Amino acid sequence: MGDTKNTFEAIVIGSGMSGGWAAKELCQGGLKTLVLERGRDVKHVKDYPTTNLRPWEFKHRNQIPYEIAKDNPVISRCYAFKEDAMHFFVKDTEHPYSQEKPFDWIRGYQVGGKSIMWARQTQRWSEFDFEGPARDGFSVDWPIRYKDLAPWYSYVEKFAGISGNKDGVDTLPDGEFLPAWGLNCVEDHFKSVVKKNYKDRHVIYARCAHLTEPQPIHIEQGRGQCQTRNLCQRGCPFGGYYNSNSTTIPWAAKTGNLTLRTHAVVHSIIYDETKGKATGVRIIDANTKETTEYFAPLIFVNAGAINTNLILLNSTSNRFPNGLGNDNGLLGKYFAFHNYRARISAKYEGMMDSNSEGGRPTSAYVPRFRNVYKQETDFLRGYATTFNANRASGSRGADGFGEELKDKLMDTSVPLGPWFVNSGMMGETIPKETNYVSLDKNKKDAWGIPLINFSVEYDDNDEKMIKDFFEQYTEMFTKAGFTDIKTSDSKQAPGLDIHEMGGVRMGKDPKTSLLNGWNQVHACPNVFVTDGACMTSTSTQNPSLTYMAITARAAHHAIELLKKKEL
Amino acid sequence: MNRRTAIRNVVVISAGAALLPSCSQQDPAGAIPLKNISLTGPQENMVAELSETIIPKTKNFIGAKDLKAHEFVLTMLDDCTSPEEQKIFINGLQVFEDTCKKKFDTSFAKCSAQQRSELLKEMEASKDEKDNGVKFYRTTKRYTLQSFTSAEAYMMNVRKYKMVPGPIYKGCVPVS
Repeated sequence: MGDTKNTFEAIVIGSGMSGGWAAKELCQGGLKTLVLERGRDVKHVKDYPTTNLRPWEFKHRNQIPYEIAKDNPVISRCYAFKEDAMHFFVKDTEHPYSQEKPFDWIRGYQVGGKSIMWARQTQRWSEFDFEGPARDGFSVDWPIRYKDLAPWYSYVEKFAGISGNKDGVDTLPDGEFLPAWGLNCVEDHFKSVVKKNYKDRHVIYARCAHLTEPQPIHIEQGRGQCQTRNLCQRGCPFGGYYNSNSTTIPWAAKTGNLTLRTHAVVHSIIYDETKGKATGVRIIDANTKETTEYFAPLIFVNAGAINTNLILLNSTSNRFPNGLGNDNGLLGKYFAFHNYRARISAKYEGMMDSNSEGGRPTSAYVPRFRNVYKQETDFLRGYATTFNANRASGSRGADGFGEELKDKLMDTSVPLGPWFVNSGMMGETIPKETNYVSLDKNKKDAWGIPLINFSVEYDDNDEKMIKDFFEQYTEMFTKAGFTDIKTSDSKQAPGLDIHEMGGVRMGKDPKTSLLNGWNQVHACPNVFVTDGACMTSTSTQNPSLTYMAITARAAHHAIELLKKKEL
Repeated sequence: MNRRTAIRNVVVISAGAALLPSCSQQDPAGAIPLKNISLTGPQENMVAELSETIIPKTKNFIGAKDLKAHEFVLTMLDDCTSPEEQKIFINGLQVFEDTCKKKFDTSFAKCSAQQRSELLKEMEASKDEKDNGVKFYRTTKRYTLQSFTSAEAYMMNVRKYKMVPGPIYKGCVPVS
C-alpha cells in the first residue's frame, strides 16, 4: 500500500445526490472517508453567486448568450440551463463525449453535482416497480423488494426533509412527510373528476424535497423553511430544499472523518490481483494532470450513472480485462432512462372566480395506472404524469407604442385570463442489451481517459406508450371539461430527462448482473455502486430518492461487513 | 404592402447598403461597448429616441431613456442573437432611417412627435415580413419592452415583485 497520507478507511467517488449520502453514512459510521470530486468545491450559500440576484440584475435577463448556446447545443436544451445557473452545468465544449446515437447528457461537475440544480421531486417506488421485471419478463429480477428499501426511504426522508401528503395509494407508498402545500382549485377539480371516473387513477400532490416545517434535525443542519422563491437551481440561501452541499456533505465533515479532494478526475479503480480486491482509486488532478493513488479497503462509486460506468469500464486488470467486475460482458449494457417526450396541454374556462395565491415548488402528480395489477395494453409498463394548472395573467397586450402602450403595461386591473393545464409524461423504458454505453476506442479526454460513447435509443414500446398517454389524457382532460386540447411530442433525444440509469445493474445472479442485493460488485465485493448505474429497471418515479435510500442501506451494510471483517 | 411601397423598399434597401460605409467613416463611433456589431453615435442615439418613442417618460413614471433601454436593446442584440439577425438589424436601422428621411426629409431623431407617431403607426400596421426596417422596429420594440417590464422600478412598483414570497400558499382563493 501507498503512504499513509493517501490511505483511508473508505473512498467515495462523487459528491452528488448519492455520493453525499455515502459520505455521510460512512463518516458517521466512524470511517475515515475520502470523497473524490472531479470539479470545484461549492460551499453552501457562499458559493451560490447568483442566489440573491433579482431579475434586472442579470445582464441578459436570464437568457443564454447566442455564442454559448451555439457552441453547446446539448446543455442548451436543458430547461434549467439559464444565465442564473449556467455555472453549475457542464458545457458540451468542456467535456465532449461520443454519440453513436444522440444522447443529451446533462452534467454538473462540482461538489454537490446535480443535487444543486435537480427538480427535487421525491416519489417512492412501490412493490409494483420492484417486481416489474420478474412479472413482465424483462431485464432481470431485482434482488430487493420494497420492504427492503422502505425503512431506508424513511431514514433518508426524515433527514433530507420531504413534503407531501399521506395519500394511501398503493402505487406510490406514503413516507415520512412534512406538510404539503397542496393542490390549487383546478388541480383539485381534476382530482375529483379522475376519482369519479376511474377506479385506479389518483391525482395527488407531488412529494418534494422541501422544508415546509423544519424539524430539529434540519435546524441542526443549519437549514430553514422553504420560502417558495422557486429559484432553487441557483442554490438556496435558506437551505429550503435538499442538496448535498447544505445537508450531507457538511454533516459528514462535522464528524471529523471527511477528507474532500476536489479537482480529482478518477481514472480507474486499482485492483490487486494477489489480494483479489480493489485497493484504491487512481486519480488525475484536473488542473495539474498529476496522477495520484489513494487507498482504502472500501470503495463507493457514486460518480453519476454514466461516469460510474466509465470508471468501471476503464478499470482494467489481468483479472478484469474488460472492466472491473465485468465477467459477463454486461457492464454498460441494459442502459435505460425515462421517456419525457410527450406533453398534453389544454385550456379551462371554468372556475374563473378563483385563483391560487403564493408559490410552491411542485404540482400535482398522477402515479402510474397502466398495467399495474395486470398486463392490459399492447406495451409493457406505463407512465406517471405531472399535472399542473395556472391562470394566465391578465394582459392588455403590447400592440401600439407611446403612452397608449405604456398605459397597457401599467394597468394592473386587467382581469386574469383562463386556466391553462398541462401534463408531462414520465414513461418507464425497458432496459435492453442493445442500449448501452461503452468506451470510445479512439477518442480520449484531456486527461487521457477514453470518452464514453452512447448507443441508446427509444423503441416501439416507448412509441406505443406515448400514443396511449395522448389517448388517455385526452379522455381525462375532456371529462374534466378542458378544451383546446393539444398534444406534443418533443422527439427529444434520450438523456434530457436527466434520469439515466443502469449499465451496472443489481441482480441475483452474477451471470446476468454486476451487483448483488447490497450493491456490491459480485466479483469484487469491496466495491459498491449505489448511484443510477445500479438500477435494474427504471420505474416511472424520479429516481433520486431511491438512489439516496439504496446508498444509505448499502453504506450501513458495508460498515457491518467491515466490523465483521468480511470485506 | 402595395406595389409602390414594395418598390420603394427595394430602393431603400440598396440605398441603405450603399450609405452604410460612408456613414461610419464620418460619424463618431457609438459609446456602448459591443463585440459583434458596431453603431455610430448618431445610430445609437436614434435607437435611444425610438425606444423612448415606444415607451416614453410620462408624468408619473420613468420611460425608456431613464432606463437606458437602448443600451439593453443593443447588448441583447450583440450577445443573444445570431449574426444573421444582427445583420438584418443593422441594415434595418438604415432602412428605417431612410424611410423616415424619405417621408419627412429629416432623420428620426429630429422628427416631431407627430411625425414619429405617423411612422410608428405604419410600422405597427405593416404585415411585410421581408422589410428589414419593420424587423428593426420590432426587435427594438421587443427588447425595449423587456427592458421596461423587467426593470426594478416597474417590477417593484407596478408588479409588486417579491423575491422571497414566504411560505404561504393558498390553493384556492376568490379572485379579488
